[in-house]
Amino acid sequence: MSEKLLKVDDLKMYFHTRDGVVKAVNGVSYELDGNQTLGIVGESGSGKSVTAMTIMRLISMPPGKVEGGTVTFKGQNLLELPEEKMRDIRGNEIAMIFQDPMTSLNPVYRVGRQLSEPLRIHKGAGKKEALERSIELLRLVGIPNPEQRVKDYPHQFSGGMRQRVMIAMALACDPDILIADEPTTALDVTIQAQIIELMQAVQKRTGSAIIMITHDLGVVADMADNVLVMYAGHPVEYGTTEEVFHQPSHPYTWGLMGSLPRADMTEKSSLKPIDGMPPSLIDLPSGCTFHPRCPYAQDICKAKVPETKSIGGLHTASCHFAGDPGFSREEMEKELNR
Amino acid sequence: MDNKKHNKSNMDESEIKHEYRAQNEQSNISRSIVKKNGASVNRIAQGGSDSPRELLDASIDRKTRTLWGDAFRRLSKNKLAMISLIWIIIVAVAAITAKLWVPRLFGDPTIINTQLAITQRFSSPSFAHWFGTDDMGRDIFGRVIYGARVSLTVGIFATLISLVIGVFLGAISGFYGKAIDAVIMRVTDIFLAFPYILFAILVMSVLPSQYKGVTVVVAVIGLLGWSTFARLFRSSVLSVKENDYVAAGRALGASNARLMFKHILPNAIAPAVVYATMGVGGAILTESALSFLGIGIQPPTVSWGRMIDDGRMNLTDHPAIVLFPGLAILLTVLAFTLLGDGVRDALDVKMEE
Amino acid sequence: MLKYIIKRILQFIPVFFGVTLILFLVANYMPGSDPVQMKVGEKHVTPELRKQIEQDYGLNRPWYIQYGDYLAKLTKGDLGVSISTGRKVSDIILEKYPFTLNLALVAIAIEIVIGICAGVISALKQRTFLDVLVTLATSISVSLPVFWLGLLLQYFFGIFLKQQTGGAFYLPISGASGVLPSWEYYVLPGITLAAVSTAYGARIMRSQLIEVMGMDYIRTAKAKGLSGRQILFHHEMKNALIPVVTFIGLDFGAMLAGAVLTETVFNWPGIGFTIYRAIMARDFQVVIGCVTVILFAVMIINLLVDISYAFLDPRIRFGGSEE
Repeated sequence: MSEKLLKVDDLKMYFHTRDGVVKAVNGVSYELDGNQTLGIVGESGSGKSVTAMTIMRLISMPPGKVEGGTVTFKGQNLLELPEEKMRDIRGNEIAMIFQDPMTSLNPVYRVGRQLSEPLRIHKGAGKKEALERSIELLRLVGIPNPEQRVKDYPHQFSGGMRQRVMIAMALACDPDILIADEPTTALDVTIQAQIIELMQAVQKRTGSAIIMITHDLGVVADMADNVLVMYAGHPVEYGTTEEVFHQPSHPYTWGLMGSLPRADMTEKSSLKPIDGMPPSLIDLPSGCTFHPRCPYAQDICKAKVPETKSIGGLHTASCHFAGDPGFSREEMEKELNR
Repeated sequence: MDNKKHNKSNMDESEIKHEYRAQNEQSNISRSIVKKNGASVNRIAQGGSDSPRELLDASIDRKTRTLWGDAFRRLSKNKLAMISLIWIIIVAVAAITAKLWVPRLFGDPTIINTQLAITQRFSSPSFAHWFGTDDMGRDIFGRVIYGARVSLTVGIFATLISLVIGVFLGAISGFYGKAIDAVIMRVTDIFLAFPYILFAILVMSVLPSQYKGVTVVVAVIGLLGWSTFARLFRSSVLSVKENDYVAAGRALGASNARLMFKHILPNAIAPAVVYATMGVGGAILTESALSFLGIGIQPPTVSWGRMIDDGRMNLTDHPAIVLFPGLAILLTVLAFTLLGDGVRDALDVKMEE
Repeated sequence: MLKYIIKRILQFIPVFFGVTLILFLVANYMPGSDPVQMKVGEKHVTPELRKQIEQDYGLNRPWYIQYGDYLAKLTKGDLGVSISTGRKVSDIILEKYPFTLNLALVAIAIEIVIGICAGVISALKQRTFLDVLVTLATSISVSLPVFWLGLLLQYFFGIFLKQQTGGAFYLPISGASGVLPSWEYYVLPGITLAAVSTAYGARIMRSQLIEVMGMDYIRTAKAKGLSGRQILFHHEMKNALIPVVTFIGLDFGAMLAGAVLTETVFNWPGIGFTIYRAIMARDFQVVIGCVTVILFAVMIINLLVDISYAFLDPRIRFGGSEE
């Protein structure tokens, strides 16, 4: 298929606030096809969530403003659609689930009603029909005794169960794309694994695409076909999971990987967090936004914004030295430790 | 702060600012601690002795000082609040100095001069009498100024009494908890069950006239209003108590009293201050209502409420007597209300019952 | 939910006793509240007369016995006798309360309609001129002396307009003495009584709605493709209204209490006006009796409102969570 399901091209979105312009999304590009999973990784404030919200057009447009780029979904530019058409797509063809299941469900409505809502709005289903489908959906996401549970209120579910309900709600209309914004961050590690398994099973069944937004590289390694690493609103590295994990080409990605505990570490080896703090998006550093924290920064890094360099296949990285021979993680660590 | 993380619907301006402000504040605080106690930090690294407490105090002091300093600056930018504050100051100054200039310029507002009563009654606003004269020939403007003395006195002192009692009981209740807390809370329930006005009317109506002076009115209103302060302060204390820096202080062996005064009080007092500012307005309204019904301040002491009651009979032909004192009440109470709103916004206090 | 209700009722009991105790103490042991004097009104009390009355009414027994007696009388509805008219206080109250009740109902209706609308509008149009206007209006309303507002309305709509339009357009300003007056009579007193509460109601509606609008589940609703109107009416209002409804319920009690001032201004023949007249006539049995009744009404309304909250909020109604 030459036409991709979703194509994001050089998306820029800024917030215009009293204190200045917050450059939240700064030229993000990626592609997504059916049955694929894209993992978007980054720290808090990297813009990974805001990008997804911009695609869904869930950002209030004052103070937010799209400054450039296109988002092509099934051939249409979502950014130019009138709001009513966009509403038809939300929850229907593209669905989103959010980070905190405790607060993402309306506390005063039964779960069944909330599940039925997208069905009744988008598919015109009747009350009874929608309820039956809701029970099916609950069963699909692994909630026991769904006929009873569908009449319960959100507070009667545990955190992990609530996230399953959210997933069920997102799947109600068989969306082409499921965007998951840090769905497991607020949950127990054991529950995390279950939720990820669930999402993979669902994908197998329905063939939908998944965008998985997370700060957890482990989740990405597990689930994603492609990876996009973001920093301070910029895309920093992109490629298949294989490419990025086996040949990480940007110092920030090295930093992310270095700060993870690995199976081959002993108690003596220390975790290496990345020095410094993420920059203010109002006051971005000049040139490469990562340069203040980069152990390998040169003069050119301060002066000039790096281009996106292709490293092979789908793999790209935004660093002046990306792909240069000798500029690999092992080599540079040896340099530093000398 | 946890609330801010969860309430992220659309990411609009305030959310973004809060996130970044929080991030920056964190780094500011830690950076300033390091800067201020640079020496102490080094000493800790070298095994210094009293530095942990200094560090803790410094961080708490900085947090509180930042709270009030910031608040002042924010308050001064609020135009409505500043206008209100200026108005209150004007009224207060006029009231305090009243005895010096009012009798000379407008005649003594408390005396009934029978001659003037006949010749001057009900005159319209003029140069000599800015608001005109009332049914007894007394200058209304002068009476309004005199009325301010009573209203401000009652408003401020009654609120102060409520504040002190309420904060004291709320502090004990919140800090010591368990049995004391339960008892005090039940008592507050009892006082809160009384609609304010009704109880004041009951008490003041039974008291014979010789008791109806300013002091008694202040006392009655003050003794009625403490329960809300107690509730408010208690919940502040409870939430501040849970904060990490208090636990840290306790771990360092700070005594209960020290904890209370130096660390809990300055932060927990914020909602009480807001409510007190608005409470002055409420106390003024209560006093004027009592005086209007005839069971509050008695003549010859001038009270705005009483003036309105006196003017009722002549409402049809001479509404001025009713108009001006009422306007005075409205503007003064409004000033306190707006000031209270401003203080609340400046301190960024969320007051939920 | 049952636990919640029982807890509330249990909390109510000490409050009930506390309130009645305070009423009892005020009625009997304050300066000026000489129970002996209250029985005879204006007459001067000689020592012999005092002894006589004390014997007749058992006023020389210890206080706790008198308190118990007082409670017993309360349960039977015996609130004493009015000195100025000789009627039983309870009879007077039974005759007058419908006026106050009706007025309070009108005022609550005004508060609900105007308060909620104003609150919703100003929340939706935050930081625009409309919002500022509503906020200013509520601030002024909250700072108004209620009785002055009543007088102003009386003057403008009752007197001034009448003069200007030659009697064509005006609103009556004195309550009718008949059984239940026609609707025009309710307008001015209703507005006066409702003014302050409506202002508070609008503010609470606004702040609750704003808070709900920022909640995560609203974001979820948007992501599901719901329209603004659907979100407002189904998701936002349903949540925001819960505390507002309880607040308005409490306000009803407050209106019963605050009616004193409004009724006095408009000569409205309800319990409030009765209290006023009794104060002027130094007829304390009536004052205390009326205050007692209003207090009880307020307390019971508060309890009911508290309990109703359990029904409104599903988190309390179907408590508990599964872990």
